[in-house]
Amino acid sequence: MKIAVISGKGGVGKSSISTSLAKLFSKEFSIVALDCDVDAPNFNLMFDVKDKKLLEVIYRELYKINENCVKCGKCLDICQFDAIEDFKINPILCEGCGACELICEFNAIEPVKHESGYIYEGFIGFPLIWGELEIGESGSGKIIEHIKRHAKKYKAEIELIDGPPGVGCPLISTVKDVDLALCIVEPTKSSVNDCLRLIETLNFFDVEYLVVENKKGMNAINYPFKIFHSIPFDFDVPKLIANKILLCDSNSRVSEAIKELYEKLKEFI
Amino acid sequence: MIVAVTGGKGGTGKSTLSANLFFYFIENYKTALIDCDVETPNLPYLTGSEDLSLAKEVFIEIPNIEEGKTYNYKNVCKEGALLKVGDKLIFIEDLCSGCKACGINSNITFRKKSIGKIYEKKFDNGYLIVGKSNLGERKTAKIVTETKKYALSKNCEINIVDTAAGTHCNVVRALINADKVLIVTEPTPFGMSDAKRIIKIVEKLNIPYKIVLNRYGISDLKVGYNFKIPYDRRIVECYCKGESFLKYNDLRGCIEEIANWIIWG
Ligand code: SF4
Ligand code: SF4
Ligand code: SF4
Repeated sequence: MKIAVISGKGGVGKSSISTSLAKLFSKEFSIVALDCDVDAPNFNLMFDVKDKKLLEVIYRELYKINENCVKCGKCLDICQFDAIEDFKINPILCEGCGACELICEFNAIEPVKHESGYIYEGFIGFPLIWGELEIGESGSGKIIEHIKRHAKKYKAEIELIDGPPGVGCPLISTVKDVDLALCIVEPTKSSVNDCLRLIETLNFFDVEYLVVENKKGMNAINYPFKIFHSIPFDFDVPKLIANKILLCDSNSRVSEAIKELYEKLKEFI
Repeated sequence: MIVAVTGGKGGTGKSTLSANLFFYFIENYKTALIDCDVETPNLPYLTGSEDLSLAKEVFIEIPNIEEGKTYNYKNVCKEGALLKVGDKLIFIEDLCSGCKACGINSNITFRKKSIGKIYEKKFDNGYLIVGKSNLGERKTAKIVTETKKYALSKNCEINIVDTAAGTHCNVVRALINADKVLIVTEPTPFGMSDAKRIIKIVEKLNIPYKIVLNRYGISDLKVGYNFKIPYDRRIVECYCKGESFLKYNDLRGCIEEIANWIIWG
């Protein structure tokens, strides 16, 4: 069963909940954890990862302009991503679509292979696979697909995925084949709004989901969706996280609430 | 002056800082606050301004494929959005990035497709400008570029660009052209690891930057920083209400220090 923990916006407690759930699941099930937040992979930082191994380098095709260029300007006009300036291609802005190569009549544009991301594996009592996008790169969707492919070899009962923020390409690649999405929300208007966008996206792709409220009591709010489970607000939680203490291992009401969430989730398996 | 506020990780307090800087600056300067986190823009909530009006729609151009028509298209689409099977052309709109490569040396024509919208709210001495992608839209880079362009056309003295989380191309697009960057982080192993990633980009872009350590006091991790904002219940409360925390003198002082760097360097 594939479960993704997602949140729309960051900072609502997604990773602190997913790391705890992974640990709880690993006591009763065979599990592999996937960190698909390839832009800011944090799961491995919460644990002491043993034997970090590079599984794969992901490449992307980019383009560059060579000395054949006669400065006709055609490529500047065709590039829809403003990536060409002064007859140079900015690798950060280039999407690798190849339109410029097709339009150039002087063979002045050639493809170059470019490292765009990495996939790692490590053991934290259970296997963890995570991706890392080369900074400033695009193409997180592709990296996520590769993370998922690597995870298959474990044939684990549970694949627990820590998702990326946003509702764009990486989120869609993360959730499109999961069995269940846990949407984490906090009682603020912005988080509720993000969660609504997330739910609309999940509906769009027909993904089943449950909404989990984090930081209950921080603020008074009415939710426009059903809350499956609530975790109380505790002003000291950021301190636990800063000290790399898993919430489920802490001595707090938050820990109890996460264990209850775990018990309730087991019924879905 | 364009100052971009970024941070790598989500939830470090980027938008909170942007909103408070905005309220600080509009007291004396014509200021634009620009939300470039186009997938999940939150500044409307943090500035108590949900009454935005539509300013502009953002379009890309996608192939206009008509049933029954024959196309002399060669398989050049790298997104897998356009496939030639026999003499039939299959177009999957969701995958199309609007690069127009398929139109080169072929008889494919294009039509406009909306990928997002730009909203605005006028304040007495400035604007909130918000880019927002349409639902299910994967490629949102152009919305970032257009939102910034639109905001800069207002000719404000100070422009505050709030970026998305992460270090991907949408963040870079938001950072490009900034005169100064504020990197917001927190004293956690995650905050620090993500801040390192974003610092690399900002250094590559050659933009002067300063580090704002938010939630100061939650750990004794050693983090280099230029400015700090304490972990304080009053900030959490103001955040929840969508208000600025400038009414508290000590907290206002934190913002003032940062604002002085933005203006005077
Ligand atoms: S289309 Fe080719 S020749 Fe013309 S400016 Fe671009 S690279 Fe140079
Ligand atoms: S490959 Fe596409 S995005 Fe890159 S420079 Fe050429 S036209 Fe622009
Ligand atoms: S515009 Fe680009 S992405 Fe869209 S179908 Fe044509 S080649 Fe493919």
